[in-house]
Amino acid sequence: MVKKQKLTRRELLKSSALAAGTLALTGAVVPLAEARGSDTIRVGVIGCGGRGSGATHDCMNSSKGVEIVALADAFGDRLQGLKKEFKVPNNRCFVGLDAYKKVLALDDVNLVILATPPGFRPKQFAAAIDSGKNVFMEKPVATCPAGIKMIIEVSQKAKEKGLAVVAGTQRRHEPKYVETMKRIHDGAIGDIVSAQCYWNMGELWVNRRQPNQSDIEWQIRNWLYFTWLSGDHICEQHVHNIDVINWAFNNLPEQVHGLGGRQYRTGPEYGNIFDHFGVEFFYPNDVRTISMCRQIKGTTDNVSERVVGTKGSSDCCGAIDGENPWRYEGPNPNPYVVEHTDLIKSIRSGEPLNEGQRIAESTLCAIMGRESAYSRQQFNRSWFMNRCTLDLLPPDDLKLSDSKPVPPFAIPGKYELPGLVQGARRRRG
Amino acid sequence: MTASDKDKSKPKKIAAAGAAVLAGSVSHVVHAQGSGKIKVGLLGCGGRGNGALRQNMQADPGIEVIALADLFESQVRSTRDRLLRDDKFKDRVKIDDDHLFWGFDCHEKIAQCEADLLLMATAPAFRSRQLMAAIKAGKHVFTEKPVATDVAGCRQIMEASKLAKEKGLAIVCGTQRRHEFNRVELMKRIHDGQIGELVGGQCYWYGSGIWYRGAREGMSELEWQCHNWYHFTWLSGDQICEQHIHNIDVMNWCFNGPPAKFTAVGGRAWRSYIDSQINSAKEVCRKYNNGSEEGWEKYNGNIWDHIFAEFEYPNGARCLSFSGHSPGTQRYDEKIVGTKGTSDCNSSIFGENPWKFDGEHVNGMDQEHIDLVKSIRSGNVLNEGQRIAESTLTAIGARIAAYTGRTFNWSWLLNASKQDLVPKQEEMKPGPGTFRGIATGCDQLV
Repeated sequence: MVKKQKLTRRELLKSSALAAGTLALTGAVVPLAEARGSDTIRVGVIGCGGRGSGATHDCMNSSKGVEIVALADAFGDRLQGLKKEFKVPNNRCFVGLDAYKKVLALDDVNLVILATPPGFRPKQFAAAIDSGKNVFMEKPVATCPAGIKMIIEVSQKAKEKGLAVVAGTQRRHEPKYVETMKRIHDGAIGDIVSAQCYWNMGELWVNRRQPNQSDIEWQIRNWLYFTWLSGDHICEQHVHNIDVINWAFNNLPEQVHGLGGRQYRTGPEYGNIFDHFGVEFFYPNDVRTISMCRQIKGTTDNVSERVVGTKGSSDCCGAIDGENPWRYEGPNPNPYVVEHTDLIKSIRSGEPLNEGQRIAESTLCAIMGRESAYSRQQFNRSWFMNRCTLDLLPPDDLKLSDSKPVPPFAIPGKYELPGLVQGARRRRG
Repeated sequence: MTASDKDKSKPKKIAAAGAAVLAGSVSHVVHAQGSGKIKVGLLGCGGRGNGALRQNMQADPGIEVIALADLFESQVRSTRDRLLRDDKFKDRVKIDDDHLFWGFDCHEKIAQCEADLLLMATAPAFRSRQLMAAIKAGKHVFTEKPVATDVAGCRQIMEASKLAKEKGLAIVCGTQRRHEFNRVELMKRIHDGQIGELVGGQCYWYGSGIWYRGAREGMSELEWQCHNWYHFTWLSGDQICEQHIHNIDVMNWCFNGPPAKFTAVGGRAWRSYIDSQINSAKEVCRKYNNGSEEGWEKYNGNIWDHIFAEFEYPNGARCLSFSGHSPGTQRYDEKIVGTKGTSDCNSSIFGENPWKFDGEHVNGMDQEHIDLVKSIRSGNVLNEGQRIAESTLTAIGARIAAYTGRTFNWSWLLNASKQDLVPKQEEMKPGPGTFRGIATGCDQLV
């Protein structure tokens, strides 16, 4: 019933001389070689806030032989917790917007955790791969198509260099999801004809602007609420669920049409992001799916996914109903830890995981949903990737003291989707 | 209608008349049966009302219009003038001066005249009390959609429909897709299982915008709101109710009933930022606010410009409802998905049992009147009241889910919701309007 094709192939490769040959040919670099076997994984953490700290602990708990050896953050105060806990010496703790470069320059670091705000990810990822580091990067991995292109390109480079790239979409490492998806891909629910995913919740933290804070310092400290930094909440959170639907289809949507707005969270402390999105994704064969996300206090919570096929339906995480009913009854390890276990295992085995392209694609879908909602235009993915010129990447010389007025939130009719020629992209499936 | 059609309806008349008498029907119902004259009154003399009246008169040569009613005297008079100038219909316009009714109680007056059939096309807020008054007075009814703007109104429609059934009175509603031959034939096939079990669906009414009407001389604030009714939830039910109900009704048709569960998001961005509308709102504000623009926002209305809703039907199928107004991509259709195929809900089935309608295409807005009048003449009256109340309540349910951010089920909505937005009839008099703020997305669920 369960296809083990991939695993079998991997096991075969592992013991074969062919695999070693392939790696040699692609010129696997020194850090990878060092990290192999039971060698110590020496981790540099770039972005030491809540998520970075969480990922650091998960990484430490995932495997033996892991050390936290260097830290970077834009702000000294955000770095103190990990510094104390892991006794990282002063000369290996770096502060500032270019602190990540200093961690990447340390030769002994062979894995970096990238957990700064997503807007910084593409350039930091590129620098990490350039420096020959294996990468664990939090989701989402970009906030604009320019960033997505960069991630895809650099992931390819990582592959050539034999470097591991794992992304923080932990559902991909969660056994109940993995086992369910195997069955869905084996046809347990037939052809997928409908799907839904949700991230409906209340509110998250907000950091109000303090006196004497520059635009950039405040925006980075309050990064959730600025599209250039977080990608908006559809990208920052809901990418998890969108990624699951892509996984179920083993494919990407061809078109998107979204709605959204800023109805409740209207104060300046909430920057320029929306508080709700409703997006329709069109997968091949005109299979239309619902994506809904909301961050409004006092509303009904729902974080889940569902796929419907010609022979049944599934919650994507342990239950299949219909002609082939099934329930997952295996263990439920902490997926935030498992993703690091899998990453480190893959580095040590010499068969590095590379999730770069995949997470770039799921992030892209979330960004498409956002831009469609901002403009209320329906468009094709190919148009968005090839013709949309939206570029929110921070400039290389960005300084904490810089001023950067908050762009207005998107109003349909006033918001311009860069590269859009009126009437050019409307096509029904 | 041909002469032979009329002849066919005659034998039925006798049997039907007997049944009507037993059911305690009043005298003019009997009059309307058979091939005699059908006296029609129009309630709501705006664009849609004038259109519906012509479509109705076109449906049967025996129809005469005898009464007009509207909130505004000018509308009633101009409608009669236009009818009398219309070569096609002027011979069947028999409206005496004492059959012109206006004011907030005009529906009560027109219900008491000798019309057999009332056409209702005022702002939706008043429909439920109008329908109740008409049915109590023994009138057949054609009503435009939607039939209410709140839950209380939907319940009143359901009550009135029940009463209509007891009295043998017709209720046909302006969801014209239900009368299009292509869709009727298609739905038979969907209900026969040609696309298998229904597991998904989508429906859309996303348009570019709507008129905004300023205040005319002499209008009180309340009268102006009724004139500019689209922009106030209590009057129009919001766009999802006023327009998108057509597509929602098609979804309910596919599933043979309303959804079991509602979830939605939505909001208002564009309407609050259109310069033309803002300027108009400021102008109206100055009129009612001693020349000041302070507080102009309330004159900009409170309806939203987008709602994205999910309907979960009793079999578990989750369907999308996508509605609103703004610049951007426009869409106005439906799709239904089954385990064996899909359909455009219009004239085609794709999948295991492909099919395409190749019969006669009719204009549903004409056909609904033909079907209505035929049913009255035959004595075997159509009653679409319960169904349109359910579809209206479906749209209202999605709106409430969006305004509140809360998920709830149909039985709560139908039985427990206390939502009642329309002022009582005795409160309807020239004066200040009913202003509520713009929904926040986490309004209290009532």
